[in-house]
Amino acid sequence: MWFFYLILGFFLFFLQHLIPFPADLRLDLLTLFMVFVSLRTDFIVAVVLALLFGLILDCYGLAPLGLQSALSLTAVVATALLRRRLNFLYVLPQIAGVAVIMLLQGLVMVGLLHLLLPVPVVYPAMLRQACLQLGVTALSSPIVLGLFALLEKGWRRCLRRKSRRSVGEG
Amino acid sequence: MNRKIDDLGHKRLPVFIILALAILLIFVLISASIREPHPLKPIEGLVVKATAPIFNFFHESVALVSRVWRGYIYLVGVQAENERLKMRAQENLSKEALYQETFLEKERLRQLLEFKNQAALPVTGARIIGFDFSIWFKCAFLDKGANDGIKWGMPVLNAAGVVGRIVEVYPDYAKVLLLIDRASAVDALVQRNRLRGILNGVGASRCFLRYIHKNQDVQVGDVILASGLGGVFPRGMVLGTVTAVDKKVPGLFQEVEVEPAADYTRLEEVLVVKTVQSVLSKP
Repeated sequence: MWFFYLILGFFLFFLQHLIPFPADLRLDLLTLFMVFVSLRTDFIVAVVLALLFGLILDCYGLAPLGLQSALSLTAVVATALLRRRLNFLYVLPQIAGVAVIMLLQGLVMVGLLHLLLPVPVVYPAMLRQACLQLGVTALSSPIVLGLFALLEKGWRRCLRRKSRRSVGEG
Repeated sequence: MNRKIDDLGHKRLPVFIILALAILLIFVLISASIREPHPLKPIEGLVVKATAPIFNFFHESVALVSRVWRGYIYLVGVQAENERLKMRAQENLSKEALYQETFLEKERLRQLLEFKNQAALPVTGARIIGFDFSIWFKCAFLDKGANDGIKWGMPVLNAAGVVGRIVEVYPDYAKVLLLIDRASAVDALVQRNRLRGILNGVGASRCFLRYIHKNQDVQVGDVILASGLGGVFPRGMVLGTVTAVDKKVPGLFQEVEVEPAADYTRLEEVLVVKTVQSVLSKP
């Protein structure tokens, strides 16, 4: 499944720049991707993917290398911890879980930026955008995570069919 | 035994070791990349070089599907549109002659006044292949780099006005600091009364014109231009329009909110001006 997660991650990274959301209202697809990967696969795989996509995000942005990796890693670790308390199979725990994860990410980001930059980092406009992003992402998380699960199911089915065909040919 | 196994089915020790290593790696990356000049810059170039073709592939695939859809499937109203365009083409032919005459007159007047010929700025077109989507930073990636003659500090424009300036150059790609980023500051003037100020980004989709004294006259709708004094942006390029003026804020200066001329949500193609010499030195 490594390859599937890699392709999905790259596609979401691309899609994140493509969706024309109104007035900076953004759906954080990559955080949802990290939550999904943490829920569906090994912790090690999730950490490696978090570092990889974090690095790519930083290379395409202005942030110093490692900042987005810290956020992705926060999502992975927070998901691993929250799944002990919340059942992510249900809608409400999913929404609450994603909201908590994004809140933690915001705190990590503000904390790191506060340490790294000599200028004030938090503006009311930014906070408003962060809250909107949190709300949109959390509320749409059941749909998006469900869609990821469907894609994963389709991918597994394709792999099974392919392996059955190769056994038949053998 | 159970205590040593977490809910992911792993032994706890390796999980903690992996986590500690990941955090250590992040701190090493952060601390190395905030130094000037940071030693990890070649890695950024390598990552961009390795991943940009993947995003280009996605971009081309989506464009192909879109072209097929619009060109071969969704053809409702094409005939009516064709007729309408033919009529407009006829109208435009007569208008073009008028515009040509006006343009030539303008050229003559400009030569007489020995103004600098800004309309013939040597530019190169570039396509935007990605944005920093986070709410903290505002930058874009171009598909042209040092191999195409792009250099640090070059201004980036589109038909509406100034978009930003080049802050990183790789062999085949370049990074643009958008006007709306917090790190962006441009020496600007109000077109109507030539008042000068500094146009600062705030990270959101707006900018603020700073250091305009409260007794000076700025109105909603005023056009803000680049003064050319920074040595980066050509004089007279449109930066944006004043959308709000607040004189009730504490302090000496009024708060002037400016909407950038370029629509950053629909930015696709831009022009990089290749001759404006930056008086700033690259850090």
